[in-house]
Amino acid sequence: MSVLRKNRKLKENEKNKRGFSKIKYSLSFLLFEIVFTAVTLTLIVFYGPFTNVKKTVVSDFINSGRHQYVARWFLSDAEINQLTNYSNAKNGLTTSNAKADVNEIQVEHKNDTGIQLENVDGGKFKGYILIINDPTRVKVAYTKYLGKEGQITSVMAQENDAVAAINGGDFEDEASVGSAKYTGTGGKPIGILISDGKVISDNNGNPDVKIGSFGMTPNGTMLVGKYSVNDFKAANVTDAISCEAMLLINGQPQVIGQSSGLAPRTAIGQMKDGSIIFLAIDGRSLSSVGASYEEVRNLMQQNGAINAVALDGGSSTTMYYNGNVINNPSDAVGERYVPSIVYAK
Amino acid sequence: MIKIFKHLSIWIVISLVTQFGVLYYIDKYYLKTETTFKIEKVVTQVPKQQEVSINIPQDATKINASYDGKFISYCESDGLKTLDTTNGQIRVVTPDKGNKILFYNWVSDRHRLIIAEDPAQGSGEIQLKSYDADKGIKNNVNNNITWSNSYTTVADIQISQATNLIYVKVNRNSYKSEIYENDVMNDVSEINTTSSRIGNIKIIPNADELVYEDLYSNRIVSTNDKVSMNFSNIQKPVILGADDDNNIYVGNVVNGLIANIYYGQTDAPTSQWQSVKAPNGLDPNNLLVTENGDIYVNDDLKGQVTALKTNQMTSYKGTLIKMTDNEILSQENGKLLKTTYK
Repeated sequence: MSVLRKNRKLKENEKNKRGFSKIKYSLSFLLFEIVFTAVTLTLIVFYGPFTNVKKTVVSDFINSGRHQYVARWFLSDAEINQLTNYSNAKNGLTTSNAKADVNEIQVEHKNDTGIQLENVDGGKFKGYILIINDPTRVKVAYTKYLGKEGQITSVMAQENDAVAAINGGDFEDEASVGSAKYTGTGGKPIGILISDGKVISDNNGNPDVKIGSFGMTPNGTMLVGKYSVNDFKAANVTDAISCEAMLLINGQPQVIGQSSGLAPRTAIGQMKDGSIIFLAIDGRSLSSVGASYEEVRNLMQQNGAINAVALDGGSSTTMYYNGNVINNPSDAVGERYVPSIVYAK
Repeated sequence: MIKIFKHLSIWIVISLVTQFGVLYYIDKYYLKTETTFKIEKVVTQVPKQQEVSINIPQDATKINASYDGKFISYCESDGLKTLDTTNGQIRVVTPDKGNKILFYNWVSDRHRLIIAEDPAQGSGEIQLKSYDADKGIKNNVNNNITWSNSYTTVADIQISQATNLIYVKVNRNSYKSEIYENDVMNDVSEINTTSSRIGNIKIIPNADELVYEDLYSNRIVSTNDKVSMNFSNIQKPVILGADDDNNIYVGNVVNGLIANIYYGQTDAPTSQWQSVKAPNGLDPNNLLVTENGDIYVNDDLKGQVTALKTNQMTSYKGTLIKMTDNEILSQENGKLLKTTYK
């Protein structure tokens, strides 16, 4: 009797031991996989064969502004540049010198009050399109605290009695105490900004230097290409903003200068009949990661745009229509302070 | 030993195969530039500009409002709600699963709440959420502000939409508070305060700066270490507000009532600040400093709001719910009334 019991006890002990070592085995398996994967994944992404992945990750770091150093840990400046075209684009070396041919556009819908809203499903992103039939309604407005801080798109839209609006041009980022917190306030526009015939930003005091921009003429044609402030003045342009990327000129897809991964995007374009397209694509959330410039370009083309440019994207991306912000701005506090908007009265 | 290596090499292969598989999928399919998109027309209705009669629920407590009075928010027994005063639509703001709402505050120029939550039971982390009242969408801001247990409360949230900084005042118990700063990259840091007894806090709208009351030494301290504010003639200074020109508004409290209000920028010597006399002593709860720097004072008994700098009076009906930057919200017989300032 007692021997039997002893035997049973021994067997139980062994079983427990085996069970325990199974848990131990699985735990060390998990731990190993996590550590090993974390280390090798970084290396595979930066040095492996997956060009798209590498390009996207590097561009995201470079364009974040704040975390460029992460990309520099792994790659030299030359390699980063080759991947993203970063410094070429910064120096304006990549876009062609093509200009929109104003005779291609026949403005057909003057005094037409129609605006059409469309939802875009792009798979990995969601977007919104507003088509404004009468291009002469489209104007540029800017922050009333110019030089100090920006305003949010919806407030600028309301102050200008706009029906529809998107955020406009890029701005200088600066922090008021130290630079670590990256608290740009959108008060200082970059490049050209012309509103209601007034030159608000003259491309850093270089009125003759050409920069990728769009401009609206009084008869509703949208000029797209590399222009200087004086070019715009000569062409009678009343409203203009420098842009992030040229997308379409005379129906021709433009080579995207600087790659910047997937992000929220804002774009503006014009169709053959003169109608203006506003586009906003949400990003940086699970339901909508964002789009590349190439995708914005393709989307604009599919929608009938002949000339199109990308405006300031990222957390600036905002679309306003009929009293409400209709997209989902990516920052925690919602809309960002921006220096300018494009709107339709 | 050989057995271990055998296992290790299988593990390595598993990891590498999965990684290459997933990266291959992302590279070839997910990151492939899309060329066709589904576009669908939306029929929109232009909103009617018609005033709707809005009822305030009888058991509503802690009533608050967005800067322009378009939305009011309140608590009922079943939680936090927002009410769109233009159409009467009510939305329930539900905490994330397993959470309770500790505190919320409106962002000062938009229809958005910043909410602090923590686990309804036991201990965990204080989490920040944002809530878009226009769309009813709640987003995560940061899940790890600081630890929390059943004694932890959140006493204030200060938000600057210009700099994207969010400050959270956490009370550990009645004599120990902490302030945490969440920046645009969602990095959290604890503010090194001069004491652990902290009163009101206020963000300077357009600077990386927060001012707080150090209740231990009865001083007002700025997080900008170049700033040192000394109010030689005020025994107990309290923070009343801040405006868009980065002025802060400070009152001296005598017997629980404010006698004078001083305002200026934190880096200017307080002797150069401007001041306004508060008639008959003011209850700090009856006072609002707007973004434009107007100081509005409510008189409950008379049903009147006075702009202190100009002495302009505005009368309203019923009992006050809240003064916003644009208008006075009050209720009479359960109905919401809006009165614009004169």
